[in-house]
Amino acid sequence: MNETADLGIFIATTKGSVGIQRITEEDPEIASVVCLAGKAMPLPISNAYQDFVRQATGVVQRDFGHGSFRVDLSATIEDGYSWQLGLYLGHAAETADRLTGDPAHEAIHVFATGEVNVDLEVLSVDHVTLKLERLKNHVGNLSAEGTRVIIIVPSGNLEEAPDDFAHGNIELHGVSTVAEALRAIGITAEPRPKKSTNVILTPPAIPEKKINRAKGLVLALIGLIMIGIAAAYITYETSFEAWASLERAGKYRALDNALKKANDSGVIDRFRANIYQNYLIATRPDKDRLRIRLIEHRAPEGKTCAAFHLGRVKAIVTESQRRSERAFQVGQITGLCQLEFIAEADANSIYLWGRYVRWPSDGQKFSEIITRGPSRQRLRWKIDLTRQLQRDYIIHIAVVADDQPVDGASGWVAEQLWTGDPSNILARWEQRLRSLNARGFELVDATFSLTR
Amino acid sequence: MATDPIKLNDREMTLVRNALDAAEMTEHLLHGDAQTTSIGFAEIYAYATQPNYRPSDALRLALTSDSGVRRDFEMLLKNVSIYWMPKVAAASSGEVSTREIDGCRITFHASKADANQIFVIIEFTDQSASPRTLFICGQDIPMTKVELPEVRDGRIQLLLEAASDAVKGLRDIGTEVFLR
Repeated sequence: MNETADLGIFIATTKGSVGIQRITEEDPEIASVVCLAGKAMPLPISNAYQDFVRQATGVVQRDFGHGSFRVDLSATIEDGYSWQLGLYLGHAAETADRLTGDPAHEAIHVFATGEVNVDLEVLSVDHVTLKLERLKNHVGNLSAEGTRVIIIVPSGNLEEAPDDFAHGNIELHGVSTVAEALRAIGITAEPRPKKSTNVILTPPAIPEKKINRAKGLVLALIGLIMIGIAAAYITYETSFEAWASLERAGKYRALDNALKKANDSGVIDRFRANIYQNYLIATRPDKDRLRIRLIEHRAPEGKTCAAFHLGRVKAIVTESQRRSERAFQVGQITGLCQLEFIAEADANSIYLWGRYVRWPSDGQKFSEIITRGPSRQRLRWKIDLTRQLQRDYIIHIAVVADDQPVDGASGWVAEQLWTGDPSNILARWEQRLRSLNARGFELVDATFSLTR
Repeated sequence: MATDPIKLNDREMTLVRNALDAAEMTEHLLHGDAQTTSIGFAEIYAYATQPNYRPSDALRLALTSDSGVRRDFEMLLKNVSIYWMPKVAAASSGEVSTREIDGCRITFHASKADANQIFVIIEFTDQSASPRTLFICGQDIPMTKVELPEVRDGRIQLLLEAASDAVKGLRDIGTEVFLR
């Protein structure tokens, strides 16, 4: 352990604190990964951490100069983004040679929760009261031993902390930027955010000359109007840029929250949010340029699917026709060896993400769920049907399209489509369609019924 | 009526062999023989095609000790897999650092945090390729099945113990690799 290492960094979660044990630079071709306690066991947040690290969506590579890391944590973190502030502080502490993965009681213990955007602002997160409740005994014991404890939460969540939480050696900080959090833990070498800055040009010197009073008044009025327009433009641009950066980073939950918050705020914020929502709706992919196709592979007369799967006979391949805009013709299970669903867009600039689900027509549980994408290529589900398929089934394919990468199987988009059980999948479809459309996504679907 | 095989040309002979092979294989898999009576085609097929399928002890044993079942299983894998990497045609024996076929490449990188752990990176030219299972088959190693995480940007990254059967098998020039 480095002798100067005096910071133990922990991520506050709803299941207790999770310590950062080690941060290691890996070869550039490695995708950044979060592992459990030194084991060869990547955690579910690894993909999100990779996005948090690597440019252009991430901030760690930009601020710490390397694009591939392995982080070892003391316990698992399943999902969400509230680990971002803790891990950012971990990187800063590691860069300053101050991170210790096994902090002695003399070390400062830092507990953090918060989401970090590309401009290094700390965004509010969920369940802060519960996270602090889970920390209570741990930090209470540390404080009793004389250990300095620093708890950092987003300023937007500070009011959720119990009144008496900061006492003795326990400090509680509400922060709105990463810089404030770094100052709170005593790291002074701040990272280099690449936030766009407004460039103020010095106007060319105008030679003095006499002007008459009326002309001066007109010039002053024009000047005031110009300043007003510029101020309005900067105000709008600032909000839009913040929302656009969330969209570019694929942080659709944060974007949804930000727009909802703006909609619940004053008239001007609501107006801005409406403009941005209209922009999102207007720029979403064209529904007519998205297609879901179904190819059926059937064993030839007198042959079995086993022979087809063994490559001994060629299947009879037919493209299934639609019986309505959102449903294929009903298919017969007998002799059906393989189904091939293909989702495609006319333009290869469109990202597709899709989910295939199958359930028994008389059942309440899904039998199979397969997600594909996000990808700018076509999505393909090849489903081999076994002889055990003894019930009638319903298959549903949902495909989401956007000009940005859709946030994958565990993201906000997938949450909008998730229903828990099959009975709700088709019932509340319009509602889901509206909510995704409002955020700039297009959504298409198709149902296929398989009967014996 | 007996047919004189000498009168058949090469193409016809191949067709006959394939037909006999197919009949034998189908019979063998669907009904089993003296050695494999407890292993049905459905189980072999499920093991080959379902990422989460847990094989019975009988199937495990058969895949380890019964060359016939193993041969049939590998034949099935060849037909249902998206990618098949044959044995490495290397001049020297030992471990490989890269395995590559048209459209798919596997590379190995030791973790800087722990040299006993290896990053296995599988890259695909076709960005829509999305295999969910990897099989490693070889004469002298146990048949190994690895459930794959979701493909991201045309690649899959695994982190495995260097001493695991999967890493040893993937780096062994004598194994075949199937991605399904």
